[in-house]
Amino acid sequence: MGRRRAIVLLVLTSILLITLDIRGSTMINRARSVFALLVEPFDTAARTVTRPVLNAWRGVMDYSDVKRENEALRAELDSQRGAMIEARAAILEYQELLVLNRLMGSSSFPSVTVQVQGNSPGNFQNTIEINKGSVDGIATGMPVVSGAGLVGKVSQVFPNSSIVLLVVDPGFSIGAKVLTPLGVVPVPTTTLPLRPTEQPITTTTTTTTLPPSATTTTTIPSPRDPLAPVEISTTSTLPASVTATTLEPIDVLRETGTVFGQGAGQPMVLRFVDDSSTTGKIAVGSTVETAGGLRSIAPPGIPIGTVAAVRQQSGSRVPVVEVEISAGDLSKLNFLRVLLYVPNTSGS
Amino acid sequence: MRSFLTGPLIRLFPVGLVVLAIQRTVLTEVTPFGVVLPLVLALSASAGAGAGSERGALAGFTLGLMYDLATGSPLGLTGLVFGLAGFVAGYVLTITPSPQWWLTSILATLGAAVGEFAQPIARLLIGQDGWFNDRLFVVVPVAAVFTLVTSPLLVPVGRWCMRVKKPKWKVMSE
Repeated sequence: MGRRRAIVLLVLTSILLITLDIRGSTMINRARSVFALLVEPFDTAARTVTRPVLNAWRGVMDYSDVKRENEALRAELDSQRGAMIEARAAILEYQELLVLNRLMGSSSFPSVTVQVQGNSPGNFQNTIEINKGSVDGIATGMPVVSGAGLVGKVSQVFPNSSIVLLVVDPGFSIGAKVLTPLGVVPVPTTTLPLRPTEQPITTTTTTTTLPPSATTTTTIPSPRDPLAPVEISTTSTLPASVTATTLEPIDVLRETGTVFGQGAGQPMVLRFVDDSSTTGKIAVGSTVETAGGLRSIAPPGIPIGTVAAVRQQSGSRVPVVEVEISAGDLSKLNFLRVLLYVPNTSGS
Repeated sequence: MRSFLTGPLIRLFPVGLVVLAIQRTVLTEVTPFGVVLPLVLALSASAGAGAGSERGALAGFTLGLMYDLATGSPLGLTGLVFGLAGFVAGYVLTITPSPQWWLTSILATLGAAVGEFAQPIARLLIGQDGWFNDRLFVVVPVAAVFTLVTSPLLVPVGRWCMRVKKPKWKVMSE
């Protein structure tokens, strides 16, 4: 009889602990931190002991896959060289405009570079463990990005490590906006000579009008390591009366909603808050990025992905949009950046 | 009741730390069919199969709490699920007091399958939906097969942790 009572006690204790944890108990958070310190040496020992075995295992099992992937990546890299040059120019201009308009971009926030040290230990959570924690200034809720876009948010922080909830987890959601260009944008095209041995790449150029002798210092991702920001100082000296190429205004449709994770291997789903007349104009391939806002966990402008499909719901005019994440395969992440971003909830 | 709760924990806690470290390091890399092999769950079910329902529930609850603390999942959720796995697996001792090793393994496998299946249900109860999908038909069998394979090793470990000796039949001499 006493043991039956013990079982009942265990169940009640579980329910009590779940309730306390979901409501956010500081005592439980402290217990997690202490336990993380306790587990850390065991984890380190297990990693050290098993690394040679795992490397050998991977060498045997994954060799052909890695070789195939390497060839595919080389081909993709070649095709993206031209796009990268174009993108760098666009980023530079974007940063100049942000500075000129005194706006904050996502690269304006301080960040901590982290390394993934473990994937999800269970089948019912899409998380990763990173190697830095509260000691490095990381706090719960901070956005985590890779060179390709948003990866997730910090869900648990320990002194020397953190747990990141990935964007594909069903528990993940964030405010997002879809940017759909309406119509064809008429931009002048020029052909830039690259290296003599390579095929020329056709790129588009835009011209911005800067104030006379405007000097701007901007931070753009380095082409070799997209995670490492590189300081670039540009001095643009233009006469006040210069006539720059004038582009026709680009008409961009912006729709704001909330994007949700649907599990590993599934696209994210974007749901709109209200029935807007323009939601029907969202096209496949449109860019989806964080919307920002006072209570959002991430600043605006971080790429989330692209629209993969637009599905109509029965009984509603508001479509459901499937989003293919830009960060790619989340099971093969290595180096990431945690943006030390704290939402400005005061509104100032 | 006090000795029932505190007695086995002295052995279970260090063993749990080692098993948890293996779960969080090696087993996140080796994922057949994309399924993470649940060693902690397998130990919970094996402890139940080797030491009985009540002790199995206690072992599962303790290991689940340790898992929750280390992985950031809601504290008590995995404890509840692993406790259920240990309790179900321990049912074998109510069928026969001295089961064969294969019967123990089968019941440990059943307990692990129940535990793995109960996880999305428990998450649903606390508002984390989205885990009930076709993938369960892969995850549960793989977890069950893994427990079946490892249980001959884990059942004695579970018995040792819970301070239970394997029952032996004695022939009474005249």
